[in-house]
Amino acid sequence: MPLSARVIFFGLTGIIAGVVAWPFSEALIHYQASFPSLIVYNIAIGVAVGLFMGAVFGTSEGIISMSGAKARGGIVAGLIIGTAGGLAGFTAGQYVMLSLGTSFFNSTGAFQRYGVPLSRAVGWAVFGVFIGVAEGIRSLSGAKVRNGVIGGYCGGLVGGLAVEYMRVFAPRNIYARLIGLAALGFCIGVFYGFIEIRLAKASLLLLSGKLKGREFPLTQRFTRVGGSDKTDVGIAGYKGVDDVHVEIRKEKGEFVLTDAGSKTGTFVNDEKVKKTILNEGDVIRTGDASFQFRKR
Amino acid sequence: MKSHIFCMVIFCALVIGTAAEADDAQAAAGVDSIRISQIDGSSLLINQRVRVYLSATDAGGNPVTDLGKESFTLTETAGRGPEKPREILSFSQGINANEGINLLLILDNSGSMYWDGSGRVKNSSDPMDWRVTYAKDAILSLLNEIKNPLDKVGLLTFNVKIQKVIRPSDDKGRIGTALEEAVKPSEEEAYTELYETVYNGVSYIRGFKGRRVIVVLSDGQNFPMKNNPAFTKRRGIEGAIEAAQREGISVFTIGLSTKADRTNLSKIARETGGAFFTVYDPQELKGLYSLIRNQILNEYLVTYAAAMDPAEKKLIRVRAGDGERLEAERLYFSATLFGIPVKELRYPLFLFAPAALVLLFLLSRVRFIYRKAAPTLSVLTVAGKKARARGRTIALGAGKTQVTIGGSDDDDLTISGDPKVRLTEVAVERKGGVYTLKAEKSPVTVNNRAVKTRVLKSGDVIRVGDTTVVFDEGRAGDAGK
Repeated sequence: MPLSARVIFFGLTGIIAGVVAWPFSEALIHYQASFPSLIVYNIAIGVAVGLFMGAVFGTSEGIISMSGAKARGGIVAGLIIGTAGGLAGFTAGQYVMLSLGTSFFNSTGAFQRYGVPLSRAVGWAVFGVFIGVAEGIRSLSGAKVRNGVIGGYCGGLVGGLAVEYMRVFAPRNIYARLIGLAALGFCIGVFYGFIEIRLAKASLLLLSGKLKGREFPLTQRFTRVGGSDKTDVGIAGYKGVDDVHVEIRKEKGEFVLTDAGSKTGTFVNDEKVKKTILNEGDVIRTGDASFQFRKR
Repeated sequence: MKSHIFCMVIFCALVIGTAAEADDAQAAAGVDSIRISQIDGSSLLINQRVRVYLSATDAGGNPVTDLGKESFTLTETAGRGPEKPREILSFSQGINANEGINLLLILDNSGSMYWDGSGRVKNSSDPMDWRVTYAKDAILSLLNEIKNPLDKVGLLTFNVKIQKVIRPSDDKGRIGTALEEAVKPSEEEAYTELYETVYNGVSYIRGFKGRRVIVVLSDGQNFPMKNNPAFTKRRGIEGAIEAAQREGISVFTIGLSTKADRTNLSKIARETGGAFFTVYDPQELKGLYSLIRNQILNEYLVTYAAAMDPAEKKLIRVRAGDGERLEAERLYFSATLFGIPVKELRYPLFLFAPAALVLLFLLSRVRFIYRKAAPTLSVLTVAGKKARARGRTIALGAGKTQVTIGGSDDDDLTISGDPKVRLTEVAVERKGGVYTLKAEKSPVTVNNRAVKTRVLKSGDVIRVGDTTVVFDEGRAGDAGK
């Protein structure tokens, strides 16, 4: 799977995340008048949307790397962090909206049309940040958290505008919020994937075997390659590949490869190595798997 | 000339049902009108509270200060829903007196301000015949009344442009000096840029804490000059009102003389929570400024808990006394992040969730697995650039024992677009399932190492010129493993 397909994949899981969360949010909105106060109402919707969106979106990394364990870990991380995100994002969004909205209120049509949706979109962006960082927190990676913050914020802002404009232009349509939420999920996913690629300084392209053609962005400071689910570049099912075969560490702009004590050894350009600095185009062989190292 | 002076009439804006009978409502005795001057919903999210600033005045426009919580009833209406009574949770009076108020006085200094009250005497040289003289006097007497050091007063005079700017401060002497310096405008200055001045006035008072009020005095109507260099970007009346609303500033307007633009001056007052006054006799201005100040100083602050009915905006209606005649209403912004619910919640929409989860499951079943059984050579990059994936792969079919890579059309894998690749560069020979690369003539690397001949493994990268080709034994090779 090339990197562009990765981005689309994130976008697709984002759409599904939005669609799953939709009926629950719709139900809560329907019973708004039964809530004791605005803050309780906001928390309830935030938790519901965050929980479902976070859990679904959390599976995307696991689905892309075809790892059931990663997907399951993602559900749990996404569920918890998404819930927190929904809570924080919706409360922040409502706060921004009420304070800005009060200012814009009563005024000309232009403000109703642009000012209010924009102020709400900021709230969606806060929500997006939390959805985006879930994968980073699951894998304890600072770089992934950063990607999630940027991707989630941009995706939330753009997707949030979609939610808002669906309401402005089709207020009577019962599917307006569905389309809005799906767009929100799609934007968060696509921006997350896009930022991940843009900020990765290098990638590994798999050249052989059943996963041939798959490209792994080296996003993190420390990347493990091996057959286990716990690795970041997971290549289960290749002959002669240990659970954790190789570690790649980013040091002062260079990528340093270290063999993690593998049984079959690691070869860079056909030479057996313990530790080496990787250069553009280097061919790394671990068991039956052969990678090309690409700087970006 | 003064025989044509009319009695002072005061119109209070935003009052529905103005003429209260004397024998009305015991609880709100003496109250002629009430007005909601400001609504603060900024703590709605934190504690569900809405703060409503109320002004209650008698027939003379003077504030009524002895009203209690029981004098008022408050209701909230969401959209077309029912009017819901809300309990008043806290009630206080005169809070602005403690915190101080910020006043910005805007004074029209157009040519007509140098006419007399009736507008008949236009060229008198006696300042006692000028309207502006009385306006200045009224402002000076207001300054004398202000004793609270927390109160701040500023001044703007304008005609075709803003002439004097005295930012609000507790230094009253500066305003006196500025008033003395306001002189009769020349012919070229015969415009009244009322709306632009109010718009700009907001920015001078915006930064102050506490209650902020603009008092505008004008004896005519907005009369803009075309292509006025002082106001290149026009905001108009809407812009001025919106700026004041955004900052929570109330604009009180005074229309002096019969020529004053009542419609628009009262619109500005009504939409910003101020009040509009018409004055025919310039001498009556004196009491009016202090009346406005007193109204503000004696505002009531009422707090209640908002209902949860969904609406973009809600209407607050306050009634005093028996509630039949004294009523004031004003809208506030109450939208939620998610908006208004759909009319009817249909349960089939819950099917969307499982349907989407099924889709997610299907997505997780998609395997991007490479399944080509036959051995292949595929071009990875040409002349350093990423190659198009299709059409650049050849299978090493069972029938052939040798394939060649090179720049010639006769080669099995033809590289075009790389000047460094000459005719035939490399041959890959097959002998009993073993693939051997042979490069006798030219420098070729496999996995970045120069080679002449080499047995190939899946994933080996062959470099010819600036072009890279990947060898793959195919999945057939995995079958036995």
